[in-house]
Amino acid sequence: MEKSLFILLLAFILRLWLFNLPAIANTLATRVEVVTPITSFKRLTEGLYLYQHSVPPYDGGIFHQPPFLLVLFNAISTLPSSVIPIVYAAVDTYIGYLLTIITYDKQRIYEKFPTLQVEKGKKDIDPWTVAALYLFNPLTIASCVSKSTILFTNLSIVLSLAYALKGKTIHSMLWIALASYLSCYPAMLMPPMVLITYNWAPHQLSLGKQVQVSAMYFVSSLAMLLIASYILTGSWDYLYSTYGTILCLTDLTPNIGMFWYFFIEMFDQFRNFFLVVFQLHAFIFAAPLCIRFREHPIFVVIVLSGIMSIFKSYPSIGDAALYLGLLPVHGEIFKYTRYGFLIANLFLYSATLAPIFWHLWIYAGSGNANFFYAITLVYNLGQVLLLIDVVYAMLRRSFDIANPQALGKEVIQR
Amino acid sequence: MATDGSIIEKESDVSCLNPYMTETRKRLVIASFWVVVLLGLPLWWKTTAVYRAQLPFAQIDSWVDRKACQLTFPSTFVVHLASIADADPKAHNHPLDYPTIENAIAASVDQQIYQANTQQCVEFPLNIEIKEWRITSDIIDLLKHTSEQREKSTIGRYDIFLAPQLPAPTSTKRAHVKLGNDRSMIITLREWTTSDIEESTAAAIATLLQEERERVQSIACDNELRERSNLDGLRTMKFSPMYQMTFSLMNEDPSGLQVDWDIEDAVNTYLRPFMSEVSVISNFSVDSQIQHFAQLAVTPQYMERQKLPSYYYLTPETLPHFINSAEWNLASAISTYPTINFILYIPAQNKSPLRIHNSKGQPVRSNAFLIPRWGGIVIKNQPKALTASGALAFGKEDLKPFMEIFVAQLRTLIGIHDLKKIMSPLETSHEISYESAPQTAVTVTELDAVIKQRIAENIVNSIATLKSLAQLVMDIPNMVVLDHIRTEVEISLDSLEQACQALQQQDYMKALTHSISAIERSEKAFFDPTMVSMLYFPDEHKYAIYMPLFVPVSVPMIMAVVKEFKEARRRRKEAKSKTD
Repeated sequence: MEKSLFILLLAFILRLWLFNLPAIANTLATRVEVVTPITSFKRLTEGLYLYQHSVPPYDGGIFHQPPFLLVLFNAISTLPSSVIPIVYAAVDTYIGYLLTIITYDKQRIYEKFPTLQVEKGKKDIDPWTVAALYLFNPLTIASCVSKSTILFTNLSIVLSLAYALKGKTIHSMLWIALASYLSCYPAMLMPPMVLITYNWAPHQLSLGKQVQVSAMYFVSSLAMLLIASYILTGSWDYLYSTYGTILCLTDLTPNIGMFWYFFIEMFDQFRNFFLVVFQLHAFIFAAPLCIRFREHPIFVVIVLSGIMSIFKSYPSIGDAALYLGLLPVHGEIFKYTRYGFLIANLFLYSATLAPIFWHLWIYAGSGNANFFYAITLVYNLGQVLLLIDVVYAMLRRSFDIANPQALGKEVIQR
Repeated sequence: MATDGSIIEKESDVSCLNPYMTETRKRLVIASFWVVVLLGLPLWWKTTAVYRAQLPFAQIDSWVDRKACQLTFPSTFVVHLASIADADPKAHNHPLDYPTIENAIAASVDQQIYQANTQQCVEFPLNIEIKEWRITSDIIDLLKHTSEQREKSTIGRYDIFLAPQLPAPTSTKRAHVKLGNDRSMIITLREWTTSDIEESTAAAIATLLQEERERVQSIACDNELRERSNLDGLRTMKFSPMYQMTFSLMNEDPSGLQVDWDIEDAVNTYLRPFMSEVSVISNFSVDSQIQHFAQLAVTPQYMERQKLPSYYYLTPETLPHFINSAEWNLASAISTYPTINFILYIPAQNKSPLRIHNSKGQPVRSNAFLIPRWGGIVIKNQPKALTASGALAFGKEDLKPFMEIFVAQLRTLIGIHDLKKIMSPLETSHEISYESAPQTAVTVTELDAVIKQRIAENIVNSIATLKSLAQLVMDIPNMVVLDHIRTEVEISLDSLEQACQALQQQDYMKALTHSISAIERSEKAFFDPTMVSMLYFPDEHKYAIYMPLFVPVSVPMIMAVVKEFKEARRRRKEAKSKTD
């Protein structure tokens, strides 16, 4: 208990302290690696100003965030300005706390599962270690201090996961609907959430029934959110300004994803086609993963979060922070990973060179866009390798549990 | 099948080894990938479809072949024949036969003009009406009288007043022609006979129309003719509904001289009437600038003279290089309209006085020259007696001579032809005088000629633009043709039609408006950013765009399906052999 309090307090205070260093907070708030056009706090302030002065905030092409954030920050703006850092720090710390709950629940469920011989009698990863790994991950801290609104998406996803593990379908679906409402892509996390409640909920429904009920909850909460937004802003303009921007990539501000460079170079004639290809590609993995890892839906959530972080149109390090934070929940697979050193190096390499190349391109003028894009490719290569590695580890561990005689031996597929 | 114990091969029936990977699940995984791909196929079709609005090619072709509408530039001459009640009794003896004279004049004019041009791509119908003009001998100012006689004239309709010379004839020439400002002329004949009336009238009409017709014809008919057409065509600016006029005061060496000018006042006084007069054709926006350290790009030669003061001069060969386009900041970013430049150049003290020689080596009096399709330049040497402060300020009055030159140059640049020059062939047999032009520096008759010329030019150019557009669209089957392009083309064609019809009805103002609309719309369609041929490429290039991504992706997906089929077939065989 003391340990838990210490971790949460330390994380909270660390964030508040960083918020009070303008040099760090202001720099982070403008870095393209940290904030994107759809999560930038600066743009949110802009939209909020327009909203408070009764100017339609979605007209100008600056503001691309959903109306609920407007309303939320409209409420917060009536309080002293020091409240905003506290809100951010508190939310991030709360996510850390939720991770411990998720880990507890996961470990409780997996107790009944067969394990490897070597794991018998050994304790699983400490839930507070999971929280600490999230809370003291530099990516998490940077994303939080930059006031990126991706934090609220992450909170919704984590809350949805926590509720799903508790077997609460309605809450889980409401939160995942909110996450989808906030940044569109988390919609693909809905099927694994359904699987979680279906697999482990105390009240057992048939799969078809569970899907029906969950889909109904999901669609109705999403519809409610959209209609409420319509009422709040008085027009449907926000739909195109938020989801249109995410799906059609109207803002080509560089970020650490694959889209911007590709679509700057793209011939106009093929732009629409490749937009469809890229967006479908981001969603194509949801169904196969759910089918293949039906028994490990939490793992599906983790991998899909990783895929979002790589293949979404405006990724930032906040997306990476989420799945990196969730990954230790399945701590037992780490012993099968093979590329840890390489991946760690790729992350460090891109973390070092991305700001340098950005500077060379934008400020010094001695580099060009290719420099920065090359680094985003390295970063995404690191993420892809990590996902491949954990998927491999998961498969191999399941295989070894089922076939103890194959332990330590190479398996090839004929 | 374990071979040596160190490797385990997964059996085809993986479920015995791996409880999570059943055969159905494997197929579901493959199928779920393919479902997305199949979902993508209609989207592929939809997103890469080339949208081509149907352009009216047939209509454009009929214009190109000149079958859509016959271009006509009709003109009407109303000949007012004086019938003097109390003067010459001879006239009464022979009453004039109006229809005969009409025909005779028309035939004579046709004979004089049409022998030059045989091509019939433009028609110039000529309509001559004869009216009786009752005058009395006590009328002194015929000119004043005529204006009361006529209806309001429009372009293409001229009034000719014929009268015997009432006071004793002063000249030996057989007739005196006085050209009015307002599409009218008064011919006073020495001898009031039918043949003299016919000949003089026909000669006056033919001279008035000759050059104008030739010019319109050379524009409207084929291009070869246009290329060898006179220098005027090359001097005239390309048509634009709006021009930007820039007046620049260039001071080569400000160290010894400070300059200033009151250009705004001067433009308003000397140029504004002219601009408002020609505003039916084009409008002008005017700006001005003063530039210091305007170095010459050419080095003037030095002429040393024994008794007279020596001077520097520029030969006609060096004049094309006079503009120092690298250093003089004349390119304007204010608008995209064509710019007409007028420069008042003040050379440095060590190069003064600077003069311009003509091709014969004589100094040009005006010290000015025109650059075709670009603008005009006047060189003003520093006055010898400068004020002590070394300042030179041009007031409105000081600028008058320069503005006169600029106006003359502007007339040439927008294609106004001097009426005096046009009428000069008539001088051999007739005495000509001109009513003094009003302050506008352009007479109505001169302006009419420009309007006709611009109408022909606009119609021909917009047809050519539409033709090129149709050509471009037909040549590149992959080019996207958006709806607004079609709209522009249709409006342009419609305007052409209306312009042509207005011409047939001799409504030149309406024809001008529609012809301007036609050229503007057709150019808007042609220069649309989506109509750039470089944006579109042939089909084989598309493979280069698709392949790098889709071939690597499709290989494992197709292989998985193939493997699955083989597996299914093998299993069916096994099952069969078991039942056997």
